[in-house]
Amino acid sequence: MKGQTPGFRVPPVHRYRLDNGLTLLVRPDPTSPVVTTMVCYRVGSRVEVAGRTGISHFLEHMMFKGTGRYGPGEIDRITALHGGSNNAFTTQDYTGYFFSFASDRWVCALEIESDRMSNNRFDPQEFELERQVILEESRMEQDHPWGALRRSVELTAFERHPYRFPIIGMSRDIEALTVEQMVEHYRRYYVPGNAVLAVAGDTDPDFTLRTVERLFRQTSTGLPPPPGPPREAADSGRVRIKVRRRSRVPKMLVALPAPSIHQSDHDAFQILDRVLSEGRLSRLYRKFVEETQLASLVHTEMGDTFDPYLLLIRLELRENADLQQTEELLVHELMQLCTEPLTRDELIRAKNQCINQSLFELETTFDQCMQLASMEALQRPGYWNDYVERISRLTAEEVMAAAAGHWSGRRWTVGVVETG
Amino acid sequence: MVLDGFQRRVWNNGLVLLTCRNDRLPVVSVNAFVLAGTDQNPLRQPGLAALASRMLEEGTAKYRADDISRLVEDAGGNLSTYCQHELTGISLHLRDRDLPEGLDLAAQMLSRPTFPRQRFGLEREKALTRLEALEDDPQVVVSNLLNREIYRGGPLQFPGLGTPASLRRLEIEDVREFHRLRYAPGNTVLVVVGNAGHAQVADLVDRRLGSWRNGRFRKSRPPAPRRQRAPRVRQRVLEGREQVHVCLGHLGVTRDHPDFYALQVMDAVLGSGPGFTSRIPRELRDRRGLAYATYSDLTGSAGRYPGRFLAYICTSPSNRDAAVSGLMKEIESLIKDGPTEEEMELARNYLTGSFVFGFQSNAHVARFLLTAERFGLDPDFIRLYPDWIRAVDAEEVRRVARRHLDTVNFTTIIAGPEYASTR
Repeated sequence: MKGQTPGFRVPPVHRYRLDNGLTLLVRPDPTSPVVTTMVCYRVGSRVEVAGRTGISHFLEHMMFKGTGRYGPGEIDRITALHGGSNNAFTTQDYTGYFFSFASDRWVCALEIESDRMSNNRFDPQEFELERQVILEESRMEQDHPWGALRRSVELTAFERHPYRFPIIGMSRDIEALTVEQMVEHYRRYYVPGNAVLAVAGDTDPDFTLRTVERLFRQTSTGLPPPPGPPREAADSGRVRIKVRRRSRVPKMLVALPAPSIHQSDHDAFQILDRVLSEGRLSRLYRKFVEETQLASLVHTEMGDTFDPYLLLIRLELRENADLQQTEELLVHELMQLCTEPLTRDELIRAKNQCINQSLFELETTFDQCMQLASMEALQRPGYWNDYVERISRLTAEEVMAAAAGHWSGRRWTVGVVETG
Repeated sequence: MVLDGFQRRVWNNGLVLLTCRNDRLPVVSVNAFVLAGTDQNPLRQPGLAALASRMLEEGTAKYRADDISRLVEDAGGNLSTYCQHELTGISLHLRDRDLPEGLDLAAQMLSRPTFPRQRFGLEREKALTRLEALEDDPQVVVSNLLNREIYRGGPLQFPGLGTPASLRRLEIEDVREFHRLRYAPGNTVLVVVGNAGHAQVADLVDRRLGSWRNGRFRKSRPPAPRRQRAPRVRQRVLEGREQVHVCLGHLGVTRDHPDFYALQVMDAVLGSGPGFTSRIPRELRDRRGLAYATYSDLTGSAGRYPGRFLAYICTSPSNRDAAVSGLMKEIESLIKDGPTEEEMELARNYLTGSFVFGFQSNAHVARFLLTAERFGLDPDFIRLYPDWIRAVDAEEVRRVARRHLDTVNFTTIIAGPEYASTR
């Protein structure tokens, strides 16, 4: 197949800022029979403190429990009545709410979002019930060895920064959270100036703007934000942890420092992520699945985060795999990326994978909203405008420098779950 | 609607090509579906179809394994092979300009795989480890236990990947024989959706698969599974876990069952509606706080073989009895009293309104076209479907609930940290 992918024109996005501070992004797509709306608030586990972890995620659940205008369960009921779907998610940096509707009936999504931005209710009885639901969600996460391992690795990889906390929160904190604390959290962060609204699909930008201006009239500015999260100490060395969980095959999760979305070498890490584990030609697949056959599965994951977070490497190991040997081989592979540039083929392949992925994501209105709203929430507006050009320009030396810059002399966390 | 560009062609050897042009983006989705999945495994050889599908990437007459990887990955595309109950699939997601190479690769994988002996051992070992690893996921454990009871006696009773014993018995010759018997033009549907014209695709397919021969392929269909005639309870201890997983289930219906659309409405009322609008999540999660995950479904798994009805919840062990009785209560009350008018309006609106969501991506459209082909859906299905759903009334839902939900002869699966006496 062909060599390096030339650029393609990303469909235009209309960006507006309302007087009350709300940012609106509209990507019209007249060929889509669907309109998706996504509201993201810049709040997640990043702003949480010990003792109140999980409050952002808990709040996400409470946003479906009734407002001044809609009773408990009514948001879901209206969604179904209009033949739509809805859901929400919480990340380290933002909390997102989305609706999808056929393009002739989507405006009710904005009516709901506008109302719950300012008038959400926190009925104590609903609050208690939802606490139980979230505790069950947390147990579900912990019952899976990967879930338990990830929690321990994150707690170890950071000492100060709140990225160490699970997004869902520590169980003891979830049990202790109060309605008053949640209302304060809501008042502080759920204001138009802290929110992004993305709309994608068969809609006209002018109509969308007029509708948003009509519906989002709130002017609250929120409580003053607390001081930013503490900086993580520059710390070196490898830290090993062992997690006790019943597991049929051993698992290894390695966390390495990775740049934030605001650092210039974030793009280079997108390349590293692919070179490590995307496809059967990737380095870790070749080394661990093919050559040494120590693992049956390798996977890497790099988040887009406001502050520097982690590149996570998962290895699902063979029953008899030697953990120490696996770790040493992995370290060797990673160090090589810090000292030797990628081959030309590797670089072109990874660039094509990055660029095509961004193109495939334009297929659905949900993915389009996700692209737009997440980058705006992370305060990287325009991220996608020159994405193809930025990725295309990267050199092997820049990728190597990025790996060396973030990995040399920094803390690497190696977590394992052994069988038993 | 994007399906305006739909075209179909059938070759003399039985190969079916479905295309649908969508020029919004410079991408294309190439899918090859061989109508042989887990259902075609000989009873003594669970895992054979899945292993055969994995081995398709290991080399063809024209491409070695590395060539295949390079072809796809260098161009930034995605290739996946998979095996489900009733079919094996090859899916390629590519830039439109890479279509000729992509179709050539798919054609090679279908008709000329070499199944190299030296790659077989590794793939089998990987499957054995995956099989073990999946046992760490309680939801997979529960699902496998339910299949074992519902499809007892047939090939679908086993996990798609097989069993450790069967995998160890399999040889490369078994895989080759499976391919000879099951992979054939008369058993294959190609679906290409995206920025590609029908004539171009048909020409490429014609040159690569027009003379593919059916060889020893014969249509074969294992006997249909039968409903259980007595209640069964199966328990599994998951040591060190905090939650108990409960699943109630029995055999469901085929996709071509005349009650299918009424059952879709029933599903939306009982346990598969959006958010927490249907009864099971509304009552057990939203109103009682018993669980994060709880739902029911009957039509989602319907195919050539009857799918399965299942009602699922995972919760703390102390809630177990309340969870089991809660699921039962919702099922029984739907059978006894049927849905309310408000529930009917909600379910019908949801199904007719969200119908368009299934046509957003090229892969979505490809899946729909395959379903339409396999089950002979009306050519005017997209226009008719909303009318069919709107024609279902509350009495009809009560009738199909009574007919298709069995509150006596069903299987209860309980998997959790402790043994539990139940019923």
